[in-house]
Amino acid sequence: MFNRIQTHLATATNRRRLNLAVLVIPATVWLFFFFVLPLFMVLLYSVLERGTYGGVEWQFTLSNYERLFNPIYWGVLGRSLWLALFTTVACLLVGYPLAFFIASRPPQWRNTLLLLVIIPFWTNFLVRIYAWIIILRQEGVINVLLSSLHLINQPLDLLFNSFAVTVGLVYGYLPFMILPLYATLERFDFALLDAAQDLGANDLKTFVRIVLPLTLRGIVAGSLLVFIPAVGEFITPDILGGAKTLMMGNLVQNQFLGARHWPFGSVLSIVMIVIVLIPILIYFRVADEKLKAN
Amino acid sequence: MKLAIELVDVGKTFQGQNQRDFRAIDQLNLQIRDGEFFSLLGPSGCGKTTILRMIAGFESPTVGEVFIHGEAMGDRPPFHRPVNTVFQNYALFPHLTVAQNVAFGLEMEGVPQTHIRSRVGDALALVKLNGLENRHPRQLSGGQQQRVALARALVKQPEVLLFDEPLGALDLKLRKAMQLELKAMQQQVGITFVYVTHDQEEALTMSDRIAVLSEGKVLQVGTPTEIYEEPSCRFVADFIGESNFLIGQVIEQANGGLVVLVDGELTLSVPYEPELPVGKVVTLVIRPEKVTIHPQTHSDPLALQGTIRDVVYLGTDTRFVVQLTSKSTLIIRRQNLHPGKLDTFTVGEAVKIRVAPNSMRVLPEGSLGPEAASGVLHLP
Ligand SMILES: Nc1ncnc2c1ncn2[C@@H]1O[C@H](COP(=O)(O)OP(=O)(O)OP(=O)(O)O)[C@@H](O)[C@H]1O
Ligand SMILES: [Mg+2]
Repeated sequence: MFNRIQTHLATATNRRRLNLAVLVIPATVWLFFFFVLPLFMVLLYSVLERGTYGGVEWQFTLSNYERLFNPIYWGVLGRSLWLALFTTVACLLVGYPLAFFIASRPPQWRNTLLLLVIIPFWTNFLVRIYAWIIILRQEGVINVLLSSLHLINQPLDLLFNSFAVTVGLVYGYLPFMILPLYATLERFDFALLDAAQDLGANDLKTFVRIVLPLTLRGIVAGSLLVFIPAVGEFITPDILGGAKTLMMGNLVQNQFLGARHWPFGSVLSIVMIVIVLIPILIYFRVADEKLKAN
Repeated sequence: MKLAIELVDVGKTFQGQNQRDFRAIDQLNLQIRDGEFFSLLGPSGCGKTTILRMIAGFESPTVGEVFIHGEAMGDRPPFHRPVNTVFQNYALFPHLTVAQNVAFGLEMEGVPQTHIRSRVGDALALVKLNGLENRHPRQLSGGQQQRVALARALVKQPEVLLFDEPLGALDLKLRKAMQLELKAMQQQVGITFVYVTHDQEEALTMSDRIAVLSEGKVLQVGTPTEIYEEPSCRFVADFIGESNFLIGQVIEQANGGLVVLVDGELTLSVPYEPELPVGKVVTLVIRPEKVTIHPQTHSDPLALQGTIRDVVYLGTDTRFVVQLTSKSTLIIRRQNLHPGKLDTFTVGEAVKIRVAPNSMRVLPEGSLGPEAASGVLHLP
């Protein structure tokens, strides 16, 4: 009898294991063909010679990597990192108070406010970025407004520079910061604010000691969601940055489509992957230590 | 008598939706003495939490003033008031350990680290939580979390400790144990406790004095005995314990007392309350345990005649429902002290009941209702 039960339990767990396996099959297939395989190809291409009209020659070389020592690329890399970092911080500074505001509204208001955050997604990204040209250009909305108020004598140079790119990036990625922040803040127990104040903490201390640590997850998640795609951006700098504000994404795009240098494009992609991996690894290391500490 | 807290003409109006204002607290006056265990008791929504939050500084009164130890609080923020709160759902900081939670308030005060350690240890010992210092709140049972919340407030050595239904989330047995423990602790540390509850039994068990609230107003303030034995109005009598209400009319004043005609058919004499004039409609409050029930053979000139309508055995006691007049029934509780030897009664049986005259409370309120008016004296 006991054995029968055991066998039964055993088949039950086996069945469950089988079910679980079935559940991950689609994702595994997808990831293999569209992530692992391409990644492997990028790695492979990066150590091959370039083909004349794109593609590769099957000849091993490390010369593509040597090209990285050219300071031109360092400048682009530095600008990419700097713009992405600045975008992340700006999104955080704008997004956090907004997410806090939304999360502390009565429940019936929250969804409406959140909808307002998401509405821009209904319009095509390209259209929204082009709209910024109309706003920022010399005879654009801002310049016309300022000069009609006689605040400026000649139009400001707002377009085709780092400023325009940053504005575009912050605008484009703000929702990606707000949504994860809102998700953590919504679960935040606002009674904790009362408790902290009751125990003698003023507003600043309450924020630093209670709110910040308890919403750190949202901050990190939001920052990663903004930083990672922002580093690799090429549409926004292409449209708003003009020729002067190249980012890594533009460079990669250039190598594949313009210069037809697939191996060097692959090298640049790998550099970007490594850069993006660093903050993620740091995040997991910190989260891990937190887990161990508890 | 030194006052710990005084509320003078305090009112609180909330701006509701659609521009409709809601007056949660109305013209409230309360005096809480230094060192006493004071309970705010009332049904849900009567404004208990609002009062507590005004004392703590989370809400400011629309009108009136809150004094703590004689000092007007005005708009002083919570972190500058000498009171601490134990919140209904504890509001423990989930990312901090038990010890860090308790230490938080001291760190905010700027107490040196070495003192913090010893004071946190003392506070945790007081609530019997030693050994759990390094746990996180989610790793504690409800009762343990409750103790952390208590230690976190106690460690600040406030002059007044505020409790908002702190035992609401605990099961009955634990709640009873914690009631006694809290009471003992209050006597040990000697600080003023202001305790919000909607559980009348809890308030009676723990309090030195109780304020009974309804719809933002104080109906009665007094010791548990006063509140139970001498309720000031029908609401209090109904809310605290179980009560029978008989509506009647004064028909005679005699020997410093009254004779009351109940439902136009039964006269009861009340040996006190001579001020009530003849013709006045009154409510008689009779507690179920203060009525005795006897077999028909019982010979007592003051006994009343009744018929058993229902008998319910409740373990500690038995509950009888007795038809007293054509319109009124009386609930009677009898303790099951010697079950084998007690008289047994069956439904439908005619019995005699005895209401101790001095256990009846006469309230000068109530209306006879249109259908009752016929059999009653109409006096000028
Ligand atoms: N911020 C607010 N805005 C509007 N109305 C409020 C607000 N806070 C409380 N009220 C109302 O004031 C009344 C009293 O609320 P309060 O929370 O003080 O009740 P309570 O006696 O503590 O009830 P409970 O026993 O259910 O906790 C309620 O009718 C409530 O709806
Ligand atoms: Mg309440």
